[in-house]
Amino acid sequence: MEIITLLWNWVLVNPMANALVLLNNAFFGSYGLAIIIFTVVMRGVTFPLTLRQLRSSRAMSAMSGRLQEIQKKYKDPKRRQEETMKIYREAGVNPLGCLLPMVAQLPIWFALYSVLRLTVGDVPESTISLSQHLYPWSFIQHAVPLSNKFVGLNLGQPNVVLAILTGATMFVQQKMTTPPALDEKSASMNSTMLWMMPLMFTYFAISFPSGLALYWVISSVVGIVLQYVYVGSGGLTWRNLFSLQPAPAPKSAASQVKPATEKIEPDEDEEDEETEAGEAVADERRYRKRSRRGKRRRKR
Amino acid sequence: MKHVASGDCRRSKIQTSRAAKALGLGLFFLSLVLLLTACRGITSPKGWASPVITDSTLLAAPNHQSLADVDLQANSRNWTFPPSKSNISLTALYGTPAVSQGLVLLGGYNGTLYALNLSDGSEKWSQVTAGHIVGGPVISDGTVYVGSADRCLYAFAVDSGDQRFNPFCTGEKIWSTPAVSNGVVYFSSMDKKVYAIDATTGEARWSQAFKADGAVASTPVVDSGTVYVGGLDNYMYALDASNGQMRWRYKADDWIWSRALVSGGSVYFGSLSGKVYGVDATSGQLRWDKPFSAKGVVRGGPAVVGSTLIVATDQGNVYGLDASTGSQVWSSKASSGVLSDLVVNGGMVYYSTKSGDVQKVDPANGTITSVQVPQ
Repeated sequence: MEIITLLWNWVLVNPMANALVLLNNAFFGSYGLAIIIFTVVMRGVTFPLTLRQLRSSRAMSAMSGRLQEIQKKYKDPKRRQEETMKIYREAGVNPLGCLLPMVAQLPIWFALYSVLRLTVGDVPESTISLSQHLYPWSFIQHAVPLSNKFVGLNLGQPNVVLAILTGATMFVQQKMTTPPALDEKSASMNSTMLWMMPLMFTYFAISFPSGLALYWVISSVVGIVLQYVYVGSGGLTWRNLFSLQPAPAPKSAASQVKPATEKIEPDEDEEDEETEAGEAVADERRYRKRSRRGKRRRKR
Repeated sequence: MKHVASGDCRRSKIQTSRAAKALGLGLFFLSLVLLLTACRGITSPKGWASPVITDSTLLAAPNHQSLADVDLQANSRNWTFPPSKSNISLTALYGTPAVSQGLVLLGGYNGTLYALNLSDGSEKWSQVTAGHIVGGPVISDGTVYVGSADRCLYAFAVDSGDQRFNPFCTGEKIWSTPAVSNGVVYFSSMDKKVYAIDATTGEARWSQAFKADGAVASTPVVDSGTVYVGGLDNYMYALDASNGQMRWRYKADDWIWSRALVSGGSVYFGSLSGKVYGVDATSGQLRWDKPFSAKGVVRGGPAVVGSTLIVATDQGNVYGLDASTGSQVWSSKASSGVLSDLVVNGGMVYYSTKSGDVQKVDPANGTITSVQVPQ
């Protein structure tokens, strides 16, 4: 465990802690500003992973119509699973594809969380801990203590307004990213997760220094913007914003409810994972064309 | 994209299902390990108040959240503050309590300074500051001085709690215990400065406060007209007590938070990386061949008994060193980490551990004995 902790500190926590202190020095000794810049920079650094995750989730979303149709059509769970897997294969989408980039980002977020707890802590023990993480460079070491004041906030103390903002931004982000449910069971789970996660983080934000809440708010806002730019609103509108149910599937996805029994011949050169989303959409277009052709033939 | 035949498809499905379960389980454990590792950085105020021994009683802070008065001869607890039915929460106790005129002065992390009757622990008066109190109070000529994280130093009459002069405010929180000598109060602030103010009027005594390179959290010590104070810039400073001019400074390898100990012409102190130094009080030169390397953080001030220098670390290592050479004489293990100052009483060295135990160590051989604090 000691080796893991050493590695953890050496690779992630120490560089992050020192970078934050450096940003604090660069931005007029404002630690709040340093947290904001650092959060945005970190989201930028992990952007390729986030983009991959967003693309995967967009591809999954594009297929949601067909998946729902399979759920309705096949009662036998084995057959249902076979058909579902077939659709995934046809679209070249790995159902776990959107999880892997998220997992890869986890250590970074945990380390950042640990660093923020160390640096905004208003407690003597946290200052002692911080000393064990700072590089022995005078311009870093002399920056301590970091100023806790930021636009009327004490970043070392919990703040109710920031705690509420944490929950609210997380709720919006959850609402945009929660995929449409395929059955009642997953719908119920999605609905619970939608309010439980923001509620939990609101509680954390009330209990922890508000510097952490500031990080969570900025991180969620950046997440919302990225989600909106690359995937869209996910069916979120002003009308359903305050509903505790996940946002309905966007029309583009909902209109793609098609039987999945017809065989689709995908191209050989569609295996590039980077274009999963594009493939899924192109696949759907081809599928619709063929379906229309089939209908015309049957009419004739 | 290649299609999989029906049998292969089922196998693939089973494999995918297993892979998903394995990945899910792996994710869970990875998250747990990461969370636990990340949470090692979580800190809440725990306290490190040192014990105080008066005649036949011991003032100790069990769990650093309350103060207990223990009759050492009868091995019984006289009183506890706050009492069990009280709604007062001290949060944590860092500063060593001060005793004078039958009163115990106690600064809580909740920002309140309490004056308790030593006989029964009842509250005589209390004064609230706008910040946490981390440094301890110090009493001189009927006045108690205490610094607060609200950046100000306060002075109150010991008997009544009346304010002696307007709080003297600095640019950052004050985490150190003040030192009083010859009518002057010396204290350090996290604004990187060391101040000297008149003990009666509260007016600045130096033309300008001494400015260090980094924040100053350690308690100043005044000896023979010199103020010794360590900083979070790795330096131990020796200042002229009359005007604040620097006489010398010695660079350690890490932050200095421990209170300096001046004895036999040497200044002893430890750093947060665990190095212990013995420096000449006049010249600021290291008296030993090399600093002593202890295992763990040295936060608490050391103690000297005879020719033995005793230091303790946050990992619970207690060392006895030859004060003249810095070589190790013995080492012992405390029940848990030590961040409190070491206190000498009756030839024994007392300290409190992180878990709130009070222990004493024999400076002759390093034998550690726990001092029971009865419930």
